Amino acid sequence: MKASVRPHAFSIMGVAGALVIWQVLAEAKVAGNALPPATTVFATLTTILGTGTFWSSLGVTIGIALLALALSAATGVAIGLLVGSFESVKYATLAVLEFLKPVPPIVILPLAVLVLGPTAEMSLFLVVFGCLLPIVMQTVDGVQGTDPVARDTARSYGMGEGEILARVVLPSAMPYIGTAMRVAAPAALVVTVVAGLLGGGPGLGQNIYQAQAAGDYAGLYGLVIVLGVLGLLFQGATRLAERRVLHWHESYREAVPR
Amino acid sequence: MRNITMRNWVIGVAAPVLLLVAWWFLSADSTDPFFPPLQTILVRFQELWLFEHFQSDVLLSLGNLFFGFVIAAGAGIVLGFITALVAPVRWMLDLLIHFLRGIPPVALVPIFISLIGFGTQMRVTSIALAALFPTMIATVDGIRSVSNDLMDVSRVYRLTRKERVLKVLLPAATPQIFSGLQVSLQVAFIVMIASEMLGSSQGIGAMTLLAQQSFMTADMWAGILLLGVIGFLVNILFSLLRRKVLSWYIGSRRLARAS
Amino acid sequence: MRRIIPLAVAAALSMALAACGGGSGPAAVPAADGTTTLKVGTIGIGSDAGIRLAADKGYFKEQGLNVEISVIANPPAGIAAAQSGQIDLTYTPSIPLLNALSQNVPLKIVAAADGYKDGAGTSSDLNRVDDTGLLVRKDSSITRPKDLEGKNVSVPARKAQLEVTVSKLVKDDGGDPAKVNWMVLDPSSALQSLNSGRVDAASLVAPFTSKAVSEGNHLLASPGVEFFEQGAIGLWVSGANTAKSKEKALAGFKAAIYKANAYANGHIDEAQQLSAEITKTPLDVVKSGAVNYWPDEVRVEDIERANNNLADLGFLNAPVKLPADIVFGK
Repeated sequence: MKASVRPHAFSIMGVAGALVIWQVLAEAKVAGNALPPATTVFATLTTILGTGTFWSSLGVTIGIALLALALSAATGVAIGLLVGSFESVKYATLAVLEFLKPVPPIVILPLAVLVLGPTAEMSLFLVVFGCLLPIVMQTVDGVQGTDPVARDTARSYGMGEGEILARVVLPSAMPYIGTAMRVAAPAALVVTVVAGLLGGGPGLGQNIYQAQAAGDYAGLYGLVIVLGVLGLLFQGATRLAERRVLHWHESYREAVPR
Repeated sequence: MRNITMRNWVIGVAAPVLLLVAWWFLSADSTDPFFPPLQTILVRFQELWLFEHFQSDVLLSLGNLFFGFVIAAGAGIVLGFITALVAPVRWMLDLLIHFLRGIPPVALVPIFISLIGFGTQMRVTSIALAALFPTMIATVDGIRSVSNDLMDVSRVYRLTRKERVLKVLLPAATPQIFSGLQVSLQVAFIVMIASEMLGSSQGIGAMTLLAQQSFMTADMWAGILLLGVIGFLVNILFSLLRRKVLSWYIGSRRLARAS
Repeated sequence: MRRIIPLAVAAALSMALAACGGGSGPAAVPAADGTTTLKVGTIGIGSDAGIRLAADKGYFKEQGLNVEISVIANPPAGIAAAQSGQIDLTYTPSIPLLNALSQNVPLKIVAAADGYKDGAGTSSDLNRVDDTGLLVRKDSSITRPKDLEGKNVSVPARKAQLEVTVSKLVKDDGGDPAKVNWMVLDPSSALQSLNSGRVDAASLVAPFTSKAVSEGNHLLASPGVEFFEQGAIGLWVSGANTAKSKEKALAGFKAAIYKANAYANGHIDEAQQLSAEITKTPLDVVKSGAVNYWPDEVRVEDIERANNNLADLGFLNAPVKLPADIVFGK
């Protein structure tokens, strides 16, 4: 891979351009005091970054997102393997899964807030609700996409069902699960923030709500910028992780004689 | 073999029905204020949505969803093409797009209110802007993944730029674009609900949240139920559309190959 | 199919409990140093100076309490958290409390958080006692509450305190509250929308009331005090189960709060300093607005008055039948 300077130069130009446009629009007072200038926002952001409460909110947000992600991944893959392996289970759950799949967590947010209150548990529940089903569905697809020949071969080598599941089915479903995780990771972050913003759960979402309610627009924009950067980091990290998993997967495939 | 298919069908239909029946009976004598009997929920569902608030709230929400999504889809595909085909634009926007995509659209709603007010305009704009990115990114990816061979062939055939875009790139990127559109639709649905929480309190999302805040749990369940059904139906409609469009595309490819 | 949700809630709940059960533990059991921890939710308004004083002055400690204050988004969320035992106490005005009671949510009033002095309703200078206000632009054609018919009026939440109290103003003035276009807007958006003409009137809470006046708007009415007249409005509320299981701790909380309330009333400057800190508002804006009052008791007749008003205005089908033991320790 040849590293080229030009894309990076343009990328910096793009960001700089956006900042300049923002500054000009804000100075022109197109939206009154609701659009603070970029300079004010970054000054406020520097102050925010110096406070301990910010870092603990950030920690809570990331913690909830990651914990929920781990929970969804573990349960999602387990359920997916179960549903994908048995025809009858698949048909029994099909309608429920298909119905719930397009329902975003925000729909059940009112219920979650009512039952669990504005707590970390509520945020965790909503994130799991949002991330679990895509992982289940992808795992099911992955299980069903397993090469039947490979399965039969494994069986003829005398592998038990459990061993086949672990050594043939799961590895072959890995790319599907990887894709699901790549989509789920940024979504987990977003849902955590939404749970804080609308449901009052702890973390950055709650800080945004408070900034907005207090009319602290500079703080509001500052926190939104933090979220954007955090989103970029999450996307980058999951892409990296997925590439590793896929890399391992491909090398595994190459070892299998075709 | 047919026996197994039959059995699967029976299981597929019976399981959800059993769940509903179980819900009905288990909740029948519920005095828990948060889990009212299913019967109460269904009665409120009928009273609220069929059809007292149908026009004023349900149609309003769906209209915003539709317009926001259509704008997002159109703009996303066009911008995606421009971004994918003009390298400097892509370099410039790539980081910004991924940055903006990471921001929960719900967090932007208060900002939109301060910028454009809180009427239908704000709602449609919020929906459209938030739903724009998934389609745009998928379009860029779709076009970027068109193989160089295909482009070489189209160059050999001396297709014009317009032909290359419309007859080669667009069909080749369509499957990816549709995956992007599906995500956009989800995002649009989420922002539709979130955008209704501020401003004039009309719309299904607004009514559901209001019911929660005033502890009218049966009304809240009715709202959740309706939102669930809408999410489900919209998704089905989209899948049908996708199948239709993609079958046209598969068919056209088959035709092209045959001729 | 929806049956999956309660199941999922239960599953997630047990998961969450398993995940953090080790950390919190049952709070009713005094810790090693003999203190009991109470988790309290507030909404971060100026009158929180009362509970802040109780903490800062060590009144909670005197009662053997360790009070953890957290900010919740809104009173209904706090009520939900309190009834489910996620927190022990929450701040709520009487109206969301009555809404919840009307739906059989089991709750107890532990102490008064804020309110109006007896006789406040007849005071000549209502805006000095009421921290809520109905604001219009200086040049507005709206000169009396009846004029709000057909106009866009902002409220922080539907069916909550400000919509109810402004509705009463409109009705008492011979108008029809149903003809008002209520707009849900957070206070800062509301003020901005008022200034830019997107709403015709804004109902606001301190410190936004004084902010609005300082930005050249006109205070048309003080809906809070005209509705409630006198007595406790903001309340410290717990779930009925908590009231039973942590009776002693709540009694201590009540004693500490009333001590702090009395202190706050006697040291307004100090309390306002705290209010300014809590709401992140300049002190002079706080001082130019209403002076908070921290009541020393909860009287059922004050709650009943709000209850009957709610029913009169149609927000409740009928007044809630208040349980005889609704006020904790009475």
